[in-house]
Amino acid sequence: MVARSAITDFVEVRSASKAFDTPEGGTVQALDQVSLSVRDNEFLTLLGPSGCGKTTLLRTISGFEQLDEGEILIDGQFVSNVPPNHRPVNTVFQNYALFPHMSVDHNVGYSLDVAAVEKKERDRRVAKALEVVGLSGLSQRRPRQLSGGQQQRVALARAIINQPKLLLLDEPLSALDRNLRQSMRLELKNLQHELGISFIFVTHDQEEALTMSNRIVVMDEGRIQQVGTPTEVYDHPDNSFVAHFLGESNLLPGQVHSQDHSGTRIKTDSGLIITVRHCDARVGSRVTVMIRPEHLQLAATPSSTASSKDQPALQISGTLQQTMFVGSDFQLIFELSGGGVMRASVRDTERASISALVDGQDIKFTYSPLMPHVISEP
Amino acid sequence: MSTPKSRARKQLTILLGPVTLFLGIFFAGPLGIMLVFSLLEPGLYGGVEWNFYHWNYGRLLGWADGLIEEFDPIYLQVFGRSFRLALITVALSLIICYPAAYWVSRSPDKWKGFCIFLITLPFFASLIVRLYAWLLILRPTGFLNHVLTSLGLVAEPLDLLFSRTAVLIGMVYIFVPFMFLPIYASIEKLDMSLVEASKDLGASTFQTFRRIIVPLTLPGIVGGSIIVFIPSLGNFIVPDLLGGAKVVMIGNLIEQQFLYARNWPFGAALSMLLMAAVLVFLLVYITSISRQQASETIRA
Repeated sequence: MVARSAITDFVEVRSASKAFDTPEGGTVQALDQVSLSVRDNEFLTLLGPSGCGKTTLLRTISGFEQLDEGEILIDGQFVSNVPPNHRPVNTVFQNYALFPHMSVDHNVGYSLDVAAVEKKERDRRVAKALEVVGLSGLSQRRPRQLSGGQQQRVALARAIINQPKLLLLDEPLSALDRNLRQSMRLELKNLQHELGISFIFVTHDQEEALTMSNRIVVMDEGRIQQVGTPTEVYDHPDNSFVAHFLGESNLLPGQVHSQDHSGTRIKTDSGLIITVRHCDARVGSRVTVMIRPEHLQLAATPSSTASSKDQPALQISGTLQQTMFVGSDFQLIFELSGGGVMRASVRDTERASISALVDGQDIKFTYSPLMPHVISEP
Repeated sequence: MSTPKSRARKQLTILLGPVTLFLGIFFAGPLGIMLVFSLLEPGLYGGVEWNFYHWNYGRLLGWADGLIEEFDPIYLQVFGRSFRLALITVALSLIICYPAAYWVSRSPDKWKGFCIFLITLPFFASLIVRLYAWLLILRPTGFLNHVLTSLGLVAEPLDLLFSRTAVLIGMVYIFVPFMFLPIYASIEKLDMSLVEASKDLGASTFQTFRRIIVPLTLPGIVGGSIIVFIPSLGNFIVPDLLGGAKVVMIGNLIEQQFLYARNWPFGAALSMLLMAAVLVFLLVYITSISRQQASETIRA
C-alpha cells in the first residue's frame, strides 16, 4: 500500500456509465459502472471484443463522448465540462485521421499552428517529432503519398508534438499488415518508454495486449471483467470470459469434489477428475477449471516422465479427432469419453511421436497439478 | 481480328458517341449560329442581312459610329447590375445552404432522405406557378405585409414587389436547391474523424471550420456557386415577374432583342458577350480559389 500511494493516478474514471440509442430504437449500454485509474508512465491496454465499450471509454477520456453518469478526472481536474480541445491528452485515431489537404509538416505542426507558436520554435519541434518517429525527409509529402506504416508514424508524431501526459491510441495497428504490426508494437512500447508518458491503448488483439502492456483491462458488454498485468490475466483469469478471450483454453465446468493435502479434486460435468494444487473454492461449490492447451503433454514422452518425479503424473485421456499443424506447434483435438472436446498443443519438437498418431485412436495426456486454474462461478 | 486497342476505341465510341452527337447538334450548332448572327447586319423587319457588321459589338463596347448604331453605356450597366445580383444570390444561398447541409448530413439516415426530399420538393411544381405564389406573398395586400402589419412591425405595407429585393428573394428561392445539393454531397463525404482530430489537437470550433472543414468541402462550395451563378446571371423570368419593368437584367435585354425589338444580331452579340464574360469570370474565380488553397496549405 505504501508503494501504491507513491504512484499518482493521472486519469481516474469513477463509475462511468454511458448508453447509446440503437437504430432499431433500443438502447445499448456501452459503459456500465466502469471505474479505472491510469498511473503515470504506464502502458495500459483496453482489451475486448468489438462493441465491448473500450472505444467508448477512450472517447469519454478524450472528450468526444459525454458520460450519462460518473466522472472523469485528468491530472486531478474534473473534465466533464472541458471540451476535447482543452484536455491535456492527444489521440492517435484508428484510421489515423490525417488531414488529406495538408503536407506531413502541416499535419504534424497542426496543434502548434492553431496555438500560433512562433515559427522558429514550431519548425524545431516538428523536425524533432518527425525525427522521433523516423520520418525526417518526408515532411513535404501529402498523406496519400505515404505507406500505411508511414501514415501511422505521422499520426504518432502529430499526437506527441504537444507533449501530452497521456496518449490515447484507438486500435492504431489494425490497418497494418502482420509484419509491420509486430515491429510497430516494439516501437510503440519503446516510444512510450522514451517519452515517459502514459499510453491508453485500445485493441481487440490479445497478442498486442499481452506483449505491450504494463496492465491490461479486459472489457466485455460495457463492464470491466478484469484488470491486471499480462501474466495475471493470462494465468489467473477471474472469469470464463477472460479465460476464453485471452489465449486458447479448455474450460471445464464442474464441482469441487474433495480436498486434502495433495490438492483439490474437481469432478467435471463430463466425468473427469482434475487435481489442482491451488483452489480456494469450498467442497461442493460450482467452479470452472481452465487448462491451457500448452499445459497438456502427450503421455509417454520423455518430458512428461521427467516432471512426474516430484508429482505423480495426472492424466486425461480421450479419442483423437484431429491433428492440426499451426506452425510453431501442433493442435490436437480429442474427445473425452464422458463427452466434450479438448485441445492440446504439442510442440513441433515432438513431431516424431505426433506423426505416429492416427485419427480415432486413444490418446493420453498428462498435466501438472500446478497448471490448471480454477474459476469460481458467481 | 480485334486487338485490345481497337476494342477500347470501339467501346469509347459507344460510350461517348451519343453525348457527342447530342451536344454537337443541339449545343455547338446553335452556338455557331449565334456567333455568326452576332456579326451580321440586322434586317429591316427582323431576320438578318448577310453582311459583315461589327457595330453590334460597337454599340455595346463603345466603337459605334453614332449614326446608324449608337453606343449606350446602359448595356454595360445592365451587365454590371446582373453580375452584382447574381453574386449576391450566390452569397445568400451559400449562407443559407451551408449550415443546413451540414446539419442534414450529420442527422440520422432516415432524416437525411426526408430532408433531401423536402429540398427537391419545389421541383415538383412549375416555376411560373411558384413565382406567382411569391407575387401573392410580396404584394402590398399580400401575406407578408398582412403578417407584418398585424404584428405591428410596420405601420404601412412595404412596397416590396417589383423591386430589386423581390427579384433577389425570387432568385435565392429558385436556386437554393442547386446550391444545397453539391454542398451536401461534399459535406456528406467529409470524414468526421478529421474534425475530431482537429479538436483533439487543440483547435477551436472556428479554427476547425476554417482550416479543415472549408478546405475539404471547397469542391462542393465551388460547384454550387457556379451552378447558381450562371443561370441566375442569365435569368429573365424572375426579373420579369417579380421585378416588373423596374429591374432589367441581361436575360431580359436579350429576350427583348429577340422577341420584341426583333434585332437578332444585337441579341446574339449580347449573348456572346455574356458568355465571354462568364467564362473570364469563372476562370478568374477558379484560379484564385486553387491558388488560395495552395497558399493555405503552404502557410497553414
